[in-house]
Amino acid sequence: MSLYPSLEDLKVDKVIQAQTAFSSNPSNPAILSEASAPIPSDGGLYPRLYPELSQYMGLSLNEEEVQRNLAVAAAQPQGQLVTRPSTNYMVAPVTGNDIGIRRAEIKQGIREAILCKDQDGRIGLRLKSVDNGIFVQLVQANSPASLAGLRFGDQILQINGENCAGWSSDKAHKVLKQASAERISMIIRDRPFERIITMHKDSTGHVGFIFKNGKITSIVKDSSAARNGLLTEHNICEINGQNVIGLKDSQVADILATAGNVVTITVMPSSIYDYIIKRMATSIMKSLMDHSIPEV
Amino acid sequence: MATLYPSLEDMKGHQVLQAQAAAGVRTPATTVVTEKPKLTSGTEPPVLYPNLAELENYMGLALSSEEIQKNLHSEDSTVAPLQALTPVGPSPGQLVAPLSGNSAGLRRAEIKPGVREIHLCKDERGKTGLQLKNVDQGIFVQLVKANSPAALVGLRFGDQVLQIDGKNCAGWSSDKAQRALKKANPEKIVMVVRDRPFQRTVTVHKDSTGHIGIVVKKGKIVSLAKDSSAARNGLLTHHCICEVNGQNVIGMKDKQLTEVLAGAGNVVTLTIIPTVIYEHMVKRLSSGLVKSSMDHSIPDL
Repeated sequence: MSLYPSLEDLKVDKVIQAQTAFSSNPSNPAILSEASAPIPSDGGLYPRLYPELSQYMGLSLNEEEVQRNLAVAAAQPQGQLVTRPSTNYMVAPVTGNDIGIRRAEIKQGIREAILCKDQDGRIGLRLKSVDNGIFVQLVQANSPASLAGLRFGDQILQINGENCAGWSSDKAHKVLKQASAERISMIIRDRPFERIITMHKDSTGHVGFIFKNGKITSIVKDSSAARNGLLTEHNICEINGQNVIGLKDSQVADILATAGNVVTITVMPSSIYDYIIKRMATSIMKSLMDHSIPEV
Repeated sequence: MATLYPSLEDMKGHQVLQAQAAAGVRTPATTVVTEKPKLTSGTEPPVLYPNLAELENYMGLALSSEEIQKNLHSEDSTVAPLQALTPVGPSPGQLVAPLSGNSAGLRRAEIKPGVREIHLCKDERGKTGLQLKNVDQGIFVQLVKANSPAALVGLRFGDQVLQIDGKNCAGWSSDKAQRALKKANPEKIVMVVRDRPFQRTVTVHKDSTGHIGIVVKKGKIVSLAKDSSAARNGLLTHHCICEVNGQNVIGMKDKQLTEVLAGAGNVVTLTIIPTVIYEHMVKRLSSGLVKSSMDHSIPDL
């Protein structure tokens, strides 16, 4: 069973499969056999794309681009593979090896991070207790925490070997304060309450959702957002892996506009988001938060 | 890129093995369980745990070298058997799981990223056994009846349905979605599904008394035991347990759920959902239906 990062990838792959089946066995009519797919004269690995694909679903699909995405993984039998922590691979003829997905990707599993304190003795991290777990509420820009790759919504399982289960926010901050400045070891679960949705811009450059104060309020009919099942009552945490919490709506719109054709947004249900940022001064959120683009 | 592990116990086990390997101590593949650690000071380089046998009581787990090596071998498919102990390092993004390695439960429960297409038929009475609900302008699976076509095709509670027969489900009401199913061709309904977007999996290990460390009431986690695997792996309260090792347990009585947990083997992968979201999804779903007709079968891999 194949997996695809977005609905557009699924549809395009189906078309390509139909064409491949058609060209390899012309006696069997392919599903979309109205237009004859020309057999490639150069003997290439993949048949030429369906002629009308360029206008499919309002996307402007460049034939060379899709072939490039497919041909990159030439060793594998099918399309572009994006390796996941699990053994599942995804087929992505349209999304390809998009760096935004890789930056945004939520890793399934736990990892260790080592931090040191800066010269002021700070890490630049603020934590909050949610449901008897400790979560990252704020990562300050240019801080040891941001260097270690911590993000809003990450769950801290252990600090220096001690389980954080059941701690209050105050206790967590106290432990951090008392910890050695040279080395703080944290075990982290990657953003458990968030998930990513990959969408594609249409020819007007829109993905298809309306948001206010960082919260998605409505979805445009027949848009990529609608197709991929983006939901309302969710807050946008990241765009292509870059944290956008605390930014003005106009700034978020700018980031969306310059984001390239494939947009992967990280969302969190609003009820949970509101709880995590409760009692965090909005001024802090706006001025101190780390908004850098993560490395991949 | 940092190494990833399904559970904390896997991380600790792996780090110990790496430390041992780095120190040049090779744990023999068999019969090491009863060996006493050789602490010949001076001749051997000092290592934290000279022998995995010492780890037997680590974190209340019963660790045996064979089991760990077996799990490491199956994960590191590119590495020759005995070299599995040398810190080759997993390829970026791969999970290292010396303890959870071969758990079928982990694979059954796994929430697949991305979207997939499925084909559904109706049974002889024209039903799919599926009940759908609108949540946040999306359509979600609210109920999968036992022994129904929906159960056969692998749909689960919480799956988001993106398209039915090529039409986007965005913004549909629950009634509209049910009607679309009713009107659909009984031979084949094509659905595009996103795997359980509101849920996530947490892998925990049983301790020597067979407990993972949670107190469950009416299917919800109400408290965590201190220093248990649940606490270590960051399981949270105010969450409902949807599945145990991939098997749906929603609607089961607490006693039944405890039995499923008891029979689950040493590595348990729980699929959980925040209670606020769960209540939203089962709103106006008759509790009689939930208890009596939900599909509780063990999914195929």
